[in-house]
Amino acid sequence: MLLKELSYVRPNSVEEAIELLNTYPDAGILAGGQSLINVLKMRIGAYSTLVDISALKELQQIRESMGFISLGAATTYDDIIHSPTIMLNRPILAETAIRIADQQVRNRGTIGGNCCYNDPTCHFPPLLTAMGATMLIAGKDKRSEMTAEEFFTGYYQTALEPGELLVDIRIPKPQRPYGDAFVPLSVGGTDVLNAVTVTAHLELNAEGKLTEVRLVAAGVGPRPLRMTAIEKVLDGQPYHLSDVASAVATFDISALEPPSDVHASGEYRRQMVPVLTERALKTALEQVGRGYRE
Amino acid sequence: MSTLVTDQKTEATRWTGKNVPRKEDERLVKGQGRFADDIRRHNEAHVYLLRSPYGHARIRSIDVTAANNSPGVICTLTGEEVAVLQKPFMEIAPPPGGLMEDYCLAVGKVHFMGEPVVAILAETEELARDAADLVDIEYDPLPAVVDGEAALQSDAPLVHEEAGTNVVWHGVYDWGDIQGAVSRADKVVKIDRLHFHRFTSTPIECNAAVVEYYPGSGEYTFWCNNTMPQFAAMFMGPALGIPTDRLHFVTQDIGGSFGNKITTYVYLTICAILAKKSGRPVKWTEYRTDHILGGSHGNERTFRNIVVPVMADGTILGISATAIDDAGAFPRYEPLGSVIWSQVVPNVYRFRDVKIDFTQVVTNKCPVGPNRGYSRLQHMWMVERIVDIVAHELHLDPIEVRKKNYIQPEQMPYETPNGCVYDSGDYPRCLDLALELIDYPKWRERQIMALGSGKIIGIGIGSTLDSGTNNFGQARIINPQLPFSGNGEVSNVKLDLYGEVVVTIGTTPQGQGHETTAAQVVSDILGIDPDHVRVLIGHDNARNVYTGFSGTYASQFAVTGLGAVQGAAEKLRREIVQLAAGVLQADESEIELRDGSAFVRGQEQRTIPFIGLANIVFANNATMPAGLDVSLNCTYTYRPPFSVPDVERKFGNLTLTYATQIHACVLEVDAQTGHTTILDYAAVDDSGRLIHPQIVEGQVHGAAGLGIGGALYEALEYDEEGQLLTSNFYSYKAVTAVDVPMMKTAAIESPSPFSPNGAKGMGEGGGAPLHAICSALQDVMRQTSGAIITDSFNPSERVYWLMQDTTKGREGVSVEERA
Repeated sequence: MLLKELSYVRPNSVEEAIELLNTYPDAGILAGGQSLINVLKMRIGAYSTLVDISALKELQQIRESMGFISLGAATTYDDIIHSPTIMLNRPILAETAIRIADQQVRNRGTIGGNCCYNDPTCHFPPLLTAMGATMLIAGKDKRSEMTAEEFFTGYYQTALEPGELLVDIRIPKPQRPYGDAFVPLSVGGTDVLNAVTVTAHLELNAEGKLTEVRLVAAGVGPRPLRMTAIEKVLDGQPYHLSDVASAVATFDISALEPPSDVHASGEYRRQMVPVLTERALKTALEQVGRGYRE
Repeated sequence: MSTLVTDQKTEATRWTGKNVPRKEDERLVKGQGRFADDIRRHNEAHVYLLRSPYGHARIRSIDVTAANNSPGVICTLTGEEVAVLQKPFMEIAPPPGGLMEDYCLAVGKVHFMGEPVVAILAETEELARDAADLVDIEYDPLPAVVDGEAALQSDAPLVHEEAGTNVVWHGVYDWGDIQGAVSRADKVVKIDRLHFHRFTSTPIECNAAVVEYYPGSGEYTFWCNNTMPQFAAMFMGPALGIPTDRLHFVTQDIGGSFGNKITTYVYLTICAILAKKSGRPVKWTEYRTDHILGGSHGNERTFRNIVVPVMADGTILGISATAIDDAGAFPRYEPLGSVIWSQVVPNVYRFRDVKIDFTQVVTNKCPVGPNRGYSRLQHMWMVERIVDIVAHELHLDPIEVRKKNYIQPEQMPYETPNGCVYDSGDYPRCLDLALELIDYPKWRERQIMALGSGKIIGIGIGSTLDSGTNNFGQARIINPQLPFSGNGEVSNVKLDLYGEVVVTIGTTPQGQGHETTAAQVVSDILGIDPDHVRVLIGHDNARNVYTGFSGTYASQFAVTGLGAVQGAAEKLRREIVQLAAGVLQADESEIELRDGSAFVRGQEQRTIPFIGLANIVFANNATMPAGLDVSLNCTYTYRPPFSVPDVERKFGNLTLTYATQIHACVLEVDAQTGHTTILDYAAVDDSGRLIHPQIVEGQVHGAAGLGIGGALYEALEYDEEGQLLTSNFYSYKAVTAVDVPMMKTAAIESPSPFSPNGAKGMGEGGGAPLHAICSALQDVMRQTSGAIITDSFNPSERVYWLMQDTTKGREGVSVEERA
């Protein structure tokens, strides 16, 4: 076969999916398959069983609650792009999803798959980390949750244990003026491959001061990296901050150990971090300023 | 947008020169095209090729026992068997290149990552691939050589021990008097190193074939997408130990080639051996990764010690340089690239003193093959870089330097220093049109306005030629023993049994619209509508319409293919007129052909339709007018007017036509990231008389897109062990429609005085986007670090580093003032 021979099962519920994941040894989860099938086809990785969760409607819901919106893990990029709930609440999710590959991929690829693959070029790990998302996980006889920051643990690694399934991603609905930004550096043409990505989130408190600042860099190390030094400097500053550059300069890029590969050298990635961070911050500040003035 | 700027007097033609609907399009847009992979034969079996994971390694052992016992496996094939069943392929080079042994599967050792090592034939392609996992191969890795210059070092690993060297071919080209030019120059610009990188064209259809062996006649049939079948046959016949006329090639629709499908004879040989061994029709369709790993790559070339004597006003007197061309692991079509560049020695410029020391080497990388702009674009890129660097170093306007050095229209036809004859053209006018299309003064203003904004605007020019219709006599400059010269193509045009007009050509179109343009030519000659002309698809040597040169490559169809069609159609017209005159009892001079009938001029009732004429010849020949001997089945071989080049002086006319491309590029670089965005782009072409302007423009767009990809995104990069790092579309970033800017095009028509129809070959282009983008980036560097663009590949990161560095980026370039 194009793929190594394997078993394929399609559960009818999340419970059944968990059951199957815990029954078959070495079972992999198939959602949209836009990364997994390539990995299997190139025989870089292999599973003896694929548990196909793509038909589980309960994993494709976009819901709105009091404090947050939640996206089922099998929600496709295309569904994100066309969701009024997302456009009203956190449009950055749609603006990011539409940058992924092409329409065919967006029709099938899912936000949960993007997160669980956790390639350093993936769009959602740094974005969800900056947004302060919570990942809801179902396992055998238990449900658990963790922050996005805890979820993404290393290159292609997440905190998901064997037999567990990412079911829902919960994203806060900010109650204050806020700004979100997603700034990738794509190498090799338009939106092809993000060698480095910086994402930003910030909010304004009642005094018009910055709070909840989260700045995240991806592609410069094993996992999305919070740039806490800059976050601390910005916390409590007025939103019409003029000197973004010196705030960014507080982050020590010499400590980074970015990978070198055929797409970009480690040194280039390192140099790009402050450039993209400044751009992400400016975008988020502009947005929060607009929200505040309104 | 397209502007056809023409002030030439065109003789009245009804169809030629018009944008008639393409005959091919209906079937292609409806998904009814038939490609090699669409061919099915009863009882066919499927091939999977297990390829080398190493760049260079000795094969200690291969165990295929488990694979042979795997479900559905019919047989396997290894290098050990191949060494018995196949003689090494012929080499074009004399020794040392001629000593290099090339088999269809690795024999004894692997020479590049992706080289086929074991072939597995099974009932399905999936079973064949599964069985490949069971093949046990022990390799002893060897040090690899992955750089052309490194391959020349005395301690370099040898790719082919049997040759005793990595050199395929070496020669010195010396025309005029470069020393004299240096002594009379005001200044001498020296450039230590320029590097033209390795990339390829990634046709949308990979290689594919269905191969069947008939024991009864000893004939093999290849339903395939090879684009130069008789060249393939020349290699395969001797290798298989059979007369080449037992190799029957059939091509149909081909999804692009760009030259990449010329050297597939290696794979076709694997299939042929398997077909005979198994007694089954053998089907092989390449995977994309396999195509990028082991298809064919473009030539990588390093230029060292470039010396350019110039006058203070920017007049370039000559060039001397050392060129090292990296052919990859096996020569195959090479070392023809070692001479083909000399079709365009001075590019579009007047300098006459040139000395190039040219060496081609093998390395542990995928073999190269002709790739759109083959061998000339590397050389013209160097010349265009020299022009920009001279302007940069002398603080002159690169556009003025170009204009000052261009060959002028009144000098046409122009004999170059090595005896090539540029047939026609007007380079200054093409440049002016390109500048007009981009509104050059506006961009110079905006360039200044952009200063300090974080975006730097660069404007660049690429001026090139597409030399078309090779004189294969140039191969003798490589190897005087080769019995080749000239060129040619065959066509048959006939009336079929019921008066239908049917055209056959020996070519292998792969998107160039041969059916349409051939029909246009025939329609004008026979007075019928192109819709009523049937042009058979592709090459089939069972039709007996081919020469040794047949195929579609090297920008020649408009001359050789249509020259043959024109000759055959004119022959048929003479026969129709003779026959009609006899039947209608009129004088031949009174017969006119229109709407599929012959008429006596001015007498509408004295007429006979083509079906009537065909009936007389094919089914009613007792009524043939007395004394006539017509077949209505006319074959013509077009032969361009060439002579054999002077091998000693490396001198002669190496191609018949020289189409012009002048491209202007405006781009913007992000000062903080090096990211390049093209803001405006114009391509002006002079392809002589245009048969179908829209088809020509389509090829202009395609060549421009390919060049833009090569300049900014596409590179075949190997690590030092010979691992290809960019073997799929994730890492090899093939240009897409999203990356190609809206293009402004214009064309002028300077008819070729040498071609039968005034047209010139133009499909390849001369790589003008690579030159124009490098030129524009040089303009960016002028405003920043002053660095010199020395590489043809400039992704964001390279541009970024060049902008940072004010000293290192200028290393290796100097200007020597002469007293």
